[in-house]
Amino acid sequence: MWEAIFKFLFKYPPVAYSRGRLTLASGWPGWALVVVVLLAAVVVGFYLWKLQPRLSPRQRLLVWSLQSLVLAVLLLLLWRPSLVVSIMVPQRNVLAVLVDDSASMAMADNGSRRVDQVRKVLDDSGPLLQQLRDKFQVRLYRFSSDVTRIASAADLKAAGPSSHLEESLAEIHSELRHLPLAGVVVASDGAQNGPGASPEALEELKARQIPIYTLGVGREEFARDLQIDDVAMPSTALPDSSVVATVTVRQRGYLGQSARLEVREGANVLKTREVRFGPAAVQTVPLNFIPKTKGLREYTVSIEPLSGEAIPENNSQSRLIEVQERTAKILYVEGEPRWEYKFLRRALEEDSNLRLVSLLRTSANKFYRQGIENEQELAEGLPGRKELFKYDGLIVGSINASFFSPQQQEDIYAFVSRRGGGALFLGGREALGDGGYQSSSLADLLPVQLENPGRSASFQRKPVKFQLTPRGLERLQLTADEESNREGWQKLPPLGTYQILGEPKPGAVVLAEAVAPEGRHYPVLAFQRFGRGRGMVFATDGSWRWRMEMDATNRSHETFWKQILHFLVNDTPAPVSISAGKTLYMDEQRVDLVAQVHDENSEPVNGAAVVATIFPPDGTTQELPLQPSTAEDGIFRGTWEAKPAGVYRVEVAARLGDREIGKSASYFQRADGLLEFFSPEQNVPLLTRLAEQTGGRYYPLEKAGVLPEQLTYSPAGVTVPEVRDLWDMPAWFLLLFLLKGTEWVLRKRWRTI
Amino acid sequence: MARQGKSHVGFSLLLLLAMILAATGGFAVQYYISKPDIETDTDFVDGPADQYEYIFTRLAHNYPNLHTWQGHTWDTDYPKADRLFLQGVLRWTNIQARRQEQVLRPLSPQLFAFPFVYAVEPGYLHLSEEEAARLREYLLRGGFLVVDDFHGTREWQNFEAQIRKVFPDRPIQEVELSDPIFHCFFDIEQKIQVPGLQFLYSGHLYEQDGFIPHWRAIYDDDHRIMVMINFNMDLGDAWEWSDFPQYPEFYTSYAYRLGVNYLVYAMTH
Repeated sequence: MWEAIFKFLFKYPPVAYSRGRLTLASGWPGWALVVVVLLAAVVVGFYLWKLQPRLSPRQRLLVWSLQSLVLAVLLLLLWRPSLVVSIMVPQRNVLAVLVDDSASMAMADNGSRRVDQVRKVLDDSGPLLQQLRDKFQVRLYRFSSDVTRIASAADLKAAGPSSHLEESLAEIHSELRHLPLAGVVVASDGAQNGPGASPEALEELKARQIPIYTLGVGREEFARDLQIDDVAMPSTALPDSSVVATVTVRQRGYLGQSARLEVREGANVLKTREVRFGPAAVQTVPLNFIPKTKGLREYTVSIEPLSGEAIPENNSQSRLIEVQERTAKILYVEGEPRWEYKFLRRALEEDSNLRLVSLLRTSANKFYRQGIENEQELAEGLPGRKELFKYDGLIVGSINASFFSPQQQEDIYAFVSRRGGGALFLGGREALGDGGYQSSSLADLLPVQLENPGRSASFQRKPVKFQLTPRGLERLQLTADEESNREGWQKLPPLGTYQILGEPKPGAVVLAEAVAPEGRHYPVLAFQRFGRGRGMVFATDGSWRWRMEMDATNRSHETFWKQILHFLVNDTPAPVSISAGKTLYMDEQRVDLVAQVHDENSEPVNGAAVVATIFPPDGTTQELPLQPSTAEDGIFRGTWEAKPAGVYRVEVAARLGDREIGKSASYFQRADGLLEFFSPEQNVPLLTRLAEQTGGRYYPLEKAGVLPEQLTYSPAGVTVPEVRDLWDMPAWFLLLFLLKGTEWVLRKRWRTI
Repeated sequence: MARQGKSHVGFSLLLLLAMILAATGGFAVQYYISKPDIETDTDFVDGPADQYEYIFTRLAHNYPNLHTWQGHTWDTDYPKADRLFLQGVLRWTNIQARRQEQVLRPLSPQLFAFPFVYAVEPGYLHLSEEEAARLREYLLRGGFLVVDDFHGTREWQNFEAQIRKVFPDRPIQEVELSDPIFHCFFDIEQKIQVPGLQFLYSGHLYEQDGFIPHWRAIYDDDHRIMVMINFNMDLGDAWEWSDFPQYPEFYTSYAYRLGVNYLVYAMTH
């Protein structure tokens, strides 16, 4: 609207002024205009002061200003103000018109498919294309995951698997770089889901002043929609581990309503949770579940579609988890025979994926080993660093910190921070604060502060209620059903003991509290990330009462310990590991692979030869040498084009000379045609940014009619300069009318005429 | 004569009174002890049980077929055997144990707070169906039962009949010397019959026809011992008379080793 007014007043559109140059075309010098204008003002002033005695000084000043301005404008017009613009030479320039042909363009907005809206505007016999063809050699392209030239908009299919907008622009620029490219028109919904183009490609478009005009297609927002934005899950887990999926849910138009979120393995629903929508558009919902079967499995997180939803296809996302059939080793060092030790061991007896190796001090000079693989294991007591690093987790029971030599404390510290193992500290009469841990280096590993030494014993033999915090409820589950899970935790008998701890450290997560009879809450179960590993505390030795005071058929005690210890070791890295940047690449083919290589002492190895072997779903095998990162020790990277959709297995082998350091494997998945349904609203910010970066403009599709004129002033391509008079702009006459009209009105009010 | 007869009558009356008093007192003591649940924490100079990790728990079982004043056998060697054994536990191990025992009936609601129980003279054990069910649940949850001091065919038959109420189908197996229970604290390399105090006057290691000692057990599904059966031996006497110079130290030491191993096993398996 304002552009039309501008053009009416100033004869030409704003783009002409922004691209053109103003000049005085009469040939007379500009200083002469200034002199004549000043002279005219003096003459008018002289006239007013000498010959108009009826006016007051203020009135004279006003009239003088108005009359001088009128004369100045008239004199300016005599000097012939003009606009010098570069005008496209007809048919000498190329105009590329790119149309988004991805599946999201098949989406219907207001009863008409997006692709049909584009076809209508870019119809061969329509006015827009006719006008453009009068001025340019128009080349029409379709793009989705690739770019191809088409004869007419009727060839659009709206079936491409994805939209690689920036990449397509870069490709077109590369194709047409030797032709006089006047500009690029892009008609798209902006739902880009491919890789971004290299910054250089767009910079070159900008440097060559080739403007990109973007035509936005589709609705800018849906009235009502639910969408799973993201699902974050670990890529591996031990069987029977509690896996936490962090689900990002987006809602629009469902304030105050709720929907059921569920996670499935095939057709089996593993966990459901009710999600209530508040005013926030995006919320993060943790959903924990226990994988039912072993091997590589796909887990689908879905949110139930609600009535009136625009796109139900974006209500679910899937991820792969490899439920590994491996046995993680945990070393348990205990300072005295106690029931917690017995029942902890019993809880893990049936878990074939955890091997609990324990070293129990039964008297001052006697140790009892259990769970050992051979007579040599732990024969010398606590193992040295190299042997210690073969474990995935460590449990420290009721044993004074002074039991560990400074070297052993250093080893345990490195076990967590560098090896990436998990360390769990239990409560007890010789544990935590009462075991002197606050003054040892191991205190750093604890997620809580310990009470200051010198105070009375922190270990209390009193029954306390075990109460999960909301974060605990997110991570631990006795049963899959949310309500019965909550009840299950409520019904647990009291813990027989607890240990008073200080404040949780910044970054620590308290999973459960002990509620003393007088109502005070103490953190009892907490964890924190520390270096590459985790530090946990379970400040009691009284959980065995759950086992003895509940029915023999009740498995709460066993389930609790399995989940705690799986959590302790699930993320413990292998010395050599490989992972893809994402477990699921939706409509992306470029896969980033990262390998971490450490030796048996968990020291990063930079000089290794690291080769990834990729097994695509088509049955072929490809090898990819990975390159060491210059910025991070022990990190090797590589990029791979994964073309066919499906599940890829990646194996990595690291060697140092003739010696093999280690091997590992992981999976990732490629899928096409999914991302189109995620965030399919018209991405106005992206289209605007693209246009403005290159000197072009964004228009909604329905305003595509302005393009021919806009493109006329393109600075790129083959142009000729043209001088256009501005003296006959309506704006001048309007200005003169206003000036003289104002004077007349004032004089009328002053009664001087 | 009459005077002498009077004095005889008086003496007889006095004796009768003494006997009545003794019988009443004995019955009262029996009654009192057969109600162990009335023991309160204040009865223990070392403080309440919940302040300790380990409490030696003696199972107070009844045998109704005995005479009235012999309504139970659970308190054989009680409490001296328990307390002397506990001194051994405290001396040899670092288990936080109370120096005094705890007596519990099978149906006591506190039973599940004490995962180790000791029952003596199970040859006279009688379990009601309710008690058997309670004991079964206790053992399946992870409790550990040691039975001791019973001998010969007749007492075995009674014990077997009673324990079958608890576990009708689980086999009673001989415990091999290689089992961890013989090695978890002391390494016990041979099986030795531990006699009761009767050995001092009879000269026999055995009682009744229990010539051969047997270490038998009922295992759970993961091959952990739930019930440890000391048949044809008397560890309780060996503990009780460990301070008696005539009782051979050899047997006392062996009985202590066994007892400590049972306890360490119960706390580790």
